[in-house]
Amino acid sequence: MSVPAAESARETHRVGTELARLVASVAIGLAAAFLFVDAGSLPDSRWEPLGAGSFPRLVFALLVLLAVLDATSIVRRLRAGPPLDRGALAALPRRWIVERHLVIAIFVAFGVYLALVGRLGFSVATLGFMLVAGLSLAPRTPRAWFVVVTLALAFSFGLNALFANVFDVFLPRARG
Amino acid sequence: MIEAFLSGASEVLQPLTLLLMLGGSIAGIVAAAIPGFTVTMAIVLTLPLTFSMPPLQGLAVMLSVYVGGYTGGLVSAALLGIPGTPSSVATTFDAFPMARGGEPGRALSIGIWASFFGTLLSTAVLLIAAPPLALIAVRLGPWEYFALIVFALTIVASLVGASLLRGLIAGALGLALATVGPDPMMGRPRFDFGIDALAPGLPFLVVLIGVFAISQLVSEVEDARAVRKGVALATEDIRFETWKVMREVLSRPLNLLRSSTVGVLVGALPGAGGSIANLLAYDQAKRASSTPEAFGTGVPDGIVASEAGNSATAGGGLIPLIALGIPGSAVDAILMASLMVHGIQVGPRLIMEQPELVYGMFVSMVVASVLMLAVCLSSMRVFLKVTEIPKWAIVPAVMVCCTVGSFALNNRLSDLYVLGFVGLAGYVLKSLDYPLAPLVLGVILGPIAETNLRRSLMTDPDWSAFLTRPVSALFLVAAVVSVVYSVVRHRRAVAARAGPRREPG
Repeated sequence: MSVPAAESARETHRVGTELARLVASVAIGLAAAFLFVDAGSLPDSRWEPLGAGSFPRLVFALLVLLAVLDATSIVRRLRAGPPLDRGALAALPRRWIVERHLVIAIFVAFGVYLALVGRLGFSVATLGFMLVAGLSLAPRTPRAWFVVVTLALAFSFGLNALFANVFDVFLPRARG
Repeated sequence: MIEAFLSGASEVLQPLTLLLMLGGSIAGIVAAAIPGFTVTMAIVLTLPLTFSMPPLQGLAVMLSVYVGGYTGGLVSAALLGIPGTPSSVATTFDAFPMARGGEPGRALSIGIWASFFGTLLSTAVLLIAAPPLALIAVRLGPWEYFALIVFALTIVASLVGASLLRGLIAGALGLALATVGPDPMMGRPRFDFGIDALAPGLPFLVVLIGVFAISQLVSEVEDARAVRKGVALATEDIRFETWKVMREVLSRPLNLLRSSTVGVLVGALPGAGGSIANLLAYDQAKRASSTPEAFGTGVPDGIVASEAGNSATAGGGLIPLIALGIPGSAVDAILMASLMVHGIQVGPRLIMEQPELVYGMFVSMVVASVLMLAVCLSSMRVFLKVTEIPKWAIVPAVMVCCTVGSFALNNRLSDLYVLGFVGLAGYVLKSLDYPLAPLVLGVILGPIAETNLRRSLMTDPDWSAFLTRPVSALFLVAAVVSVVYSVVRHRRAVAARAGPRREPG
């Protein structure tokens, strides 16, 4: 990549990150404003000057203020920078997803695992998660797959047995 | 006194007691090294095993778990960047970069030695100052506690990283997360929106595991090609220079002493403890350093401060317990329960009526720290093997450990849903360069701040009491000074970074 192209890619990445931060600040600010209003509906206490909603309102007001300041400073920085290359910016989310496909796969597998652990029980759900996560991350070699399967068995049925028999702690069991 | 000391020491130094303490030390280190498993959980599991033992032997074993546990959190903090326990959050700031920089052996050794000296120093303080310090601690009212928490919150300003605003937002987000669930005074439900998972509030440890562990683990697999190649967490040769590192730690006597003092003082305050002490000690070390900008890049001073600070809370926490019968933390409450099981009443008369037991506890602390050192130094090679495991094998396994740890806290499935959401939110915040330490600090301190603010105004609705009570006023002034100092330093650092970039243009 030539020097100007690399410089332009860096600038596009910086602008993309700033825009993502702007979205985060706005989302945080709006959520905090909503919760600030919601906290106002919490009942006052007869026994104390501050009710259940006072401290949260203080915190959410602070959060709104900080989010507004952050969003303003991001907008100011974006305006001060060179004009945006809209085409390059539009391609950023897709590139981000492609670059982080393993992260997304692991999060999806973990989310499904957490959702199913109560229904399938710890051992079966963990075995499934460890196999899916391990096989998506591991190199495609018989040795690696053998390690994945061994670890999956040890951390699912093995860990469950250890907790139940040694610590008397019972991990979730299958329902129904 | 000497007779009681010798009597207590002779009981602790029995071969069987030493053997049991060794087992306790190993259990504490291993339990705390697993993210999600806390020192408290390890001690709870140990308690029933001590019922059949003589009181001092049982206490000695539990103290070994306690001391071992405070050090065990260091292992995952340094090697994986995941605090094994809340008391090792600040350890990740420098131990992890040092380990990633090719010196995992040095990072672990510094932490182990700092923990050892921190425990020894806190035991010395415990021996000398238990009664007067305990008296001071219990005289503090809700005004002083609130002011202390405000002061502790100002640490946020020095943990913010590149952007002051993002750091402050993270801190405020932590405070906001802490308001979900029953309000701490009257138990009224808040912000649960009828969702079962939110009704009991967001458990602090689940938030900690989600924010630090899940986000860190998932970010390890960002580079798909490296993961599939079987790249391990550390790729360089691991070197051990135990004695050289000991000298390195001892060459920082001021840092050791300051951090241990912070640990003892915070430990002596009921309700505080190691989770605050490590951050406070780190903050103080950073402020006192001539190169504060180097903190967070893998400097020994950061590791020494955090580990000496959290380990010193073990001795500090025993101060109000022994002198006044007030447990300063959950762990101290369990120690107290074990004494009560044996029919021993803990309180100011304990040291007069059972001096051999109290001095035996002091000796146990020293022996426990020596055992911890021996176990850690001899097993460091085994711990360091973790860094040689390929990421594709370790990431799913540790994620399962995090799940088990989150569930075992309260046996609630809904905590697992919280873990998933917080983990995802933590990853997004981390990707956008929001510092995560202020968020955790907010979650820890939020409920304590709210409780003490409301309690103080319930006692006296006059807000000026915060300024007219000398200790409270002192903490508040210190908080203002701390913020101003941090903001000025942050601006200077930003200007210094911007300076060299502007020059060429």
